[in-house]
Amino acid sequence: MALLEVRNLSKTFAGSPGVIDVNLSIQSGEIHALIGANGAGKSTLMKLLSGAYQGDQGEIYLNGQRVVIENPVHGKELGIHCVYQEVDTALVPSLTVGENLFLDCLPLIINWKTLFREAEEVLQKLNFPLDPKRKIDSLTLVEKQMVLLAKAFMQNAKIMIFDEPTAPLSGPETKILLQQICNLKEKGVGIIFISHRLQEVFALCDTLSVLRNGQLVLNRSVSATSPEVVVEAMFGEKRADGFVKKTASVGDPLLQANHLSDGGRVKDVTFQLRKGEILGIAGLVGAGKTELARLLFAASPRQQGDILWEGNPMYFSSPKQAIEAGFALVPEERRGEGLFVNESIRANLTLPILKTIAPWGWIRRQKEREHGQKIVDALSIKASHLEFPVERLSGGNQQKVVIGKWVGSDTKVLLLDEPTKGIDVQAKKELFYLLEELVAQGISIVYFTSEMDELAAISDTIYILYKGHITKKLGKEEMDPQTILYYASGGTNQDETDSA
Amino acid sequence: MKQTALNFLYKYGALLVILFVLLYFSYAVPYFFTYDNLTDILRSISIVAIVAIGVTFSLIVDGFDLSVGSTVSLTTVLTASLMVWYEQPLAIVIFAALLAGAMIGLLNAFLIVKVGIPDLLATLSMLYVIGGVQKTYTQGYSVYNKMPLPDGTTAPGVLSPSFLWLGQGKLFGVPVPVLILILLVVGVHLLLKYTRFGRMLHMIGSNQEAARLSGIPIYSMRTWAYVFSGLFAALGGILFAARVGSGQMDAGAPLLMESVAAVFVGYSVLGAGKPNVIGTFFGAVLIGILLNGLTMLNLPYYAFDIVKGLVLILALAVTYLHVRRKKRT
Ligand SMILES: Nc1ncnc2c1ncn2[C@@H]1O[C@H](COP(=O)(O)OP(=O)(O)OP(=O)(O)O)[C@@H](O)[C@H]1O
Ligand SMILES: [Mg+2]
Repeated sequence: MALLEVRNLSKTFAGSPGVIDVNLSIQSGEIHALIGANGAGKSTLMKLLSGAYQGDQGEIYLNGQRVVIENPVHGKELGIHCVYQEVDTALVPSLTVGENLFLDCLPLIINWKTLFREAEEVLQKLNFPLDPKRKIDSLTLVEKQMVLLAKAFMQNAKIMIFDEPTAPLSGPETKILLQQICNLKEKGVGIIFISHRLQEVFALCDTLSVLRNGQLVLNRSVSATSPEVVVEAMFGEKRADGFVKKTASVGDPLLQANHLSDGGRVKDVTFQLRKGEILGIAGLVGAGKTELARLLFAASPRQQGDILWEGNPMYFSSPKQAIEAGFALVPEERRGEGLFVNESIRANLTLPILKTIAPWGWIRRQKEREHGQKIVDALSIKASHLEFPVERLSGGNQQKVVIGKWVGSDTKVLLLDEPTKGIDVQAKKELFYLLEELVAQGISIVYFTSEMDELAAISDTIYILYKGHITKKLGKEEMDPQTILYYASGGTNQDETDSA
Repeated sequence: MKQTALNFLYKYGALLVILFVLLYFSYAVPYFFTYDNLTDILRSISIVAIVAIGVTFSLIVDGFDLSVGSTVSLTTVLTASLMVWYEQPLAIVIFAALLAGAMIGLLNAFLIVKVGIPDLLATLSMLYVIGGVQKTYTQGYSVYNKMPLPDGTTAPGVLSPSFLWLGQGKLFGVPVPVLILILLVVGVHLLLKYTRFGRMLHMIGSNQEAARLSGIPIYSMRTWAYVFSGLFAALGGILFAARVGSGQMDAGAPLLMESVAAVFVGYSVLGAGKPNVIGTFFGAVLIGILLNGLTMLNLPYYAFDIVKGLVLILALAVTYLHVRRKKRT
């Protein structure tokens, strides 16, 4: 008997199909991948299973018994746990790992010794290398995810659903997380794993389901299919192969950054950016990429160093001045720093160009709509209309809005901080073609990411950022994902030591 | 099914309540539904509504201004005293009062935006400071025509008829303050909805950090919001003096509560879910109708605060329940 079975489950929203007539079954100890393009309905399905949404139609069975999941708390009682991407909101940062594990069931009088001992036991059972006495705010992202995993396991999770857990992680961290998920699987937990990275899906999962426009179009065991088949199912047609970069001619030096420091994570960073160049900044999570991007954009104060624009020193001290100088930043934290979730797609997309569509202060609605529509089409943002509130877009489509906002503005240097977070393979390819188009227009791009294969595919030059320092510069010929990762994880330069 | 019903209620609930209250009073009070009484209601709400427009500005940038009531009080006595004590011409009087309002807004903005005091606490302190300045300035007396002065003489000036016309006169059969209100509602609506300025205010309220990273000058925009708040309160104060023909002590004290209630009722007008001028206007109308009708039903005035408080609670409940519901789905 299946651990979880879904029959004819449907949930539609005004204007868009969420999930239509889905049948699915998951066994205990199975890792089941849920795959689909942005807006296909993955998160919706997960919310239906957790009780956050109520289906319009269909039934859910747990161990053969029909259940109606009223809300997420009820879902948890039934043993269905979700790990959302925003792990921080689910933990208390000022408390220890142990306390967080027992947070929902703390007794009136706490016996610290037993609490930590029991926490230790749980962590050991799962093979999680975590000290229960550490504070949450000292943990890395993947460690926080582990705490949530352990907590769910403790509360007798039978089904665990992960919505793009690996999107914010770098390669090595992803490995750790996948290992922990395997540990859960061995304990008999049924797992639903949502991801846009087919590689990890094929490495980790037993079975997979593909959703397209809310409908289940493929349901197979992983060994009986291939990435090509899956991609074809996702989009309903064969897709041309991966992205191949045109050999573009890079122009003259544009920007020279000298000895930049922010007094924190960024230490003495020096690099040069040329006109029409795509410059990759590679670094693991925590290497200081976000901090460096913010520093260049004057979103956080510069403590030392200077920036020269075509040889002339630039003075700016706020994002507003940076934008006027031609910079634009796509921040990593899309909800907190990039999006206006309560506003429409239109208002989000046209904010940077308000001056041009409102020359005398009066916004020309027609022009505004045209501009918005152009970007929606260019990035194929999936929404029924321009006035759709960004809040209700799927995660990947929200990310496209954050990027699209700067398309068509007077940007000369585009800073992208993990821009592909949460977008599907096709959208990623489209983004790369868009970037190529932008550099062809003479725009320069600084691309900050821990996705080494992306960097290898798109960059003209790569700088490695390791613990806040630039440790290495890689030219076109040295760019393969392994090499980049090697240096980004702190590997040192053998050639140089040899020759020295 | 339940969803759509709830959404319908959220969208039209506030307007339905207004309609219902109108119908009820028209039925219960014979004199209620007459042109005179209805214009009377509008006249009586015009000042609250104007102050509430100011509060709308501060709420749009996700701030709050508790000092508007005191600002009304201060500018009321300031206007009256400039005429009664110092015999200043109308233009100067009005300019001075507006200037005072703008300065208060600037000071609020300084405390909140530059110093970084939370808006509620900063404007709460300012509420007392301004109230104190008002009392000190008038030495605790109201200001009226031919009032005796501390040195034994009578005050030289009077509130001029052209000034009183602002608060009491009519143009084309419509009270002047009502005309002013309507002009302001339309003007501010256009400003907030169709200009770059208004858009920037809204975006700051929606996500301040994202607005900053999009190049919006958040400090100066938030400052503008508080300056507008002060300006509208000052205008309320001027009209108050013109309406009652004197500068009453603490005239603005009840206006804070009423204007805040008006703005929050406005959140749910047509399901806007955020501060908006049209909603604020209807919010003020609702409060005006309630108070007027209840007066006619001989509800004692000291019970009015209960009604006002309940209206505010209801408006807040609708707004926040809706926020919670939206979060869950
Ligand atoms: N509350 C809502 N109201 C209206 N439409 C919604 C709502 N929630 C989701 N949608 C729509 O349902 C569709 C499916 O969204 P969902 O978030 O499930 O996609 P997804 O597969 O998780 O995509 P992604 O890979 O981008 O995260 C989208 O078109 C989205 O706009
Ligand atoms: Mg999703």
